[in-house]
Amino acid sequence: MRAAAKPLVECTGLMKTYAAGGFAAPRGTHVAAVGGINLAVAPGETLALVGESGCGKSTTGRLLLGLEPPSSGSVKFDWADLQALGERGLRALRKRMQIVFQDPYGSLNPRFSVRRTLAEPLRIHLKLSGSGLEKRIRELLESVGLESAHAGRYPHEFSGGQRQRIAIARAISVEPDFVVADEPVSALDISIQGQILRLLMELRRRLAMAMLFISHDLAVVRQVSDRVAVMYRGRLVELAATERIFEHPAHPYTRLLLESVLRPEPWRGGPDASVRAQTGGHAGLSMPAGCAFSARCPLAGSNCLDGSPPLREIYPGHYCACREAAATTNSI
Amino acid sequence: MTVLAATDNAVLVRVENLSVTLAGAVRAVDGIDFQIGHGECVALVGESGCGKTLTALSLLRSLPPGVEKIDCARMEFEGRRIDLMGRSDLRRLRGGQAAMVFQDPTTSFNPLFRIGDQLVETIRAHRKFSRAAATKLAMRCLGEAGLEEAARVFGSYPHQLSGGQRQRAFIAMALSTEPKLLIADEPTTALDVTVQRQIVDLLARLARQRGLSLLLITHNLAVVARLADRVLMMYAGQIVECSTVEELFSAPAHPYSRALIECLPSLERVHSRPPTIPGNVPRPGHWPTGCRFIDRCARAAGGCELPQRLKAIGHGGRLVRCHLAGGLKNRVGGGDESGG
Repeated sequence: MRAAAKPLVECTGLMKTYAAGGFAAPRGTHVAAVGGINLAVAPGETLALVGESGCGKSTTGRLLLGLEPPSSGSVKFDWADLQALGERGLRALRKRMQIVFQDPYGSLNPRFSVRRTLAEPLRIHLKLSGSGLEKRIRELLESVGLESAHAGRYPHEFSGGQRQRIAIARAISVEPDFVVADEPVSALDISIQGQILRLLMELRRRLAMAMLFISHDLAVVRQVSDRVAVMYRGRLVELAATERIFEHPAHPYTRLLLESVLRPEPWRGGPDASVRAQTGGHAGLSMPAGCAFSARCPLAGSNCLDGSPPLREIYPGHYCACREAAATTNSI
Repeated sequence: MTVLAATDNAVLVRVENLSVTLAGAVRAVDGIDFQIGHGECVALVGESGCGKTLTALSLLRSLPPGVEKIDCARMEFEGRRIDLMGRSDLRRLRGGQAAMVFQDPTTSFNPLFRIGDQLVETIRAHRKFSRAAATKLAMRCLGEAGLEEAARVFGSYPHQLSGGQRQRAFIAMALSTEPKLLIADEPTTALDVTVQRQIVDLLARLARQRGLSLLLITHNLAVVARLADRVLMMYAGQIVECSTVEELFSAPAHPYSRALIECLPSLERVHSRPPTIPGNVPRPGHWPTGCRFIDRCARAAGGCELPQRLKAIGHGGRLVRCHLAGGLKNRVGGGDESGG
């Protein structure tokens, strides 16, 4: 909920609904991709947003950047309400917030050379041109571990990891205060993932930028983030400092996620009973009346059907949206 | 030629000196030998472009466009020569005795037909079954794949199922022809963590119950650790290490295997600098003439510039393509020592 310092980005009651698509859905049905969340990112902080596919984490990232308008609720960036700003005001803010996408094949224009890709934001936002522009492009390429001689090349001439470096160079070119990194290493080979994580961590330190790190990979999240927010079906179910959430996960969904992580340890035994018990994904649009997780939850009781549980502080800085968890957390 | 021995069991699949050449005479797979025993799970592991998928597809001789030719000394399935098979025999093999499961369960089914109809069609293409008998078998397979509401799934279209359910249904279809070998190409990569684990456990259970041989193709070492008996580590078109899964994870022999295992992010350990392997995976056509890992290897020394052969280490049939192996400090750990 509240970050310790004055927040850089803050959203309140953030909600995004889409009309249910496809011929199978009845007309007028709406799906809440993001179902009303409050979240704040402090300057320089890395907040990880984790959850399964379709839980609304990418949509949240896009809403925080003002790339899409929320259905209700508000996003404030450095106290400015994105909704109230309008196009022109938003454009001025754009150079302070950037995004890195998962797929470095899709996120770069294949017909733009690296120089042109990097020059565009520099021209628009920093009004650079001529030798100043060239110099900045060289610096950028070097700061992400590419050779400045590569500026004339096109995306297809690079490997996946190198392309992700170009995408990062583009994002940091305007020295943003806030970057949304949406699964930035998921499409990369394991041996390359570490390189990109190192780069992100180093740049974050050097440029003191805040980051929303969207990922489904908990082991990666553990390495890079200061705090972790766990989403389930459009809602935040748990939020705490990274150390805290890995050592003392409170929400049954967070625990399920952590137990599900396959370990590269062949000597580990068979499946845990708790993991086996909770099969079943969530096809379809129907939301349970109460806690969205109650259908899969081992702790589910009758009061879980009584409306969506709110986030409550169960430990300083540790928030959990589960009525049953509070009773059991003390015992871990 | 070295022959990679299957452990104990009689051999189901034997591949000798397999090479795959892409258009423009670019080698993508370069002289692979391996065997798969009955009931054994062999994992082909490596990063993108190492040739693992092409190797597996060569087994069914169903290579994608862009492949110029396959060369091999021999490829056998139960003693029959796959490399010499005619079209009709191949068709019986594919999806029959050797079935395949793919990465993306959304595209592996035809979206326009119900799941059940696709299962029944598959069964009847491979076995002399009446429609009623095929339907019964399809329902049984869906149940065996852990789909509790088999009847509902049978009547559903692919888009009506979740990703995990679709992958289970596809596994059911693969099993319906009673294969002896299941080739699973990144079977969990497109799935969520909670579902990933269920699918891995399902494959392990089915392989055990049915005595199925499994050829698992993946880059995910955690999946390998849970499923495989033996691991073939591939790098730049070659096998660089062949070990049992315990050997690989407790004492990887090839510097690449070792570096890759050290790269895995851990839930318990936080690194100030995440471990990594410097440089990039070399693309087919750009392989170094000597050891192909030479540019990225922390231990590269004199002799590495020469082509490396697979050599035996220990007594259990372990093989490694590194002239320095055996002299390496064989422990994982060391954490942050790799620079980059």
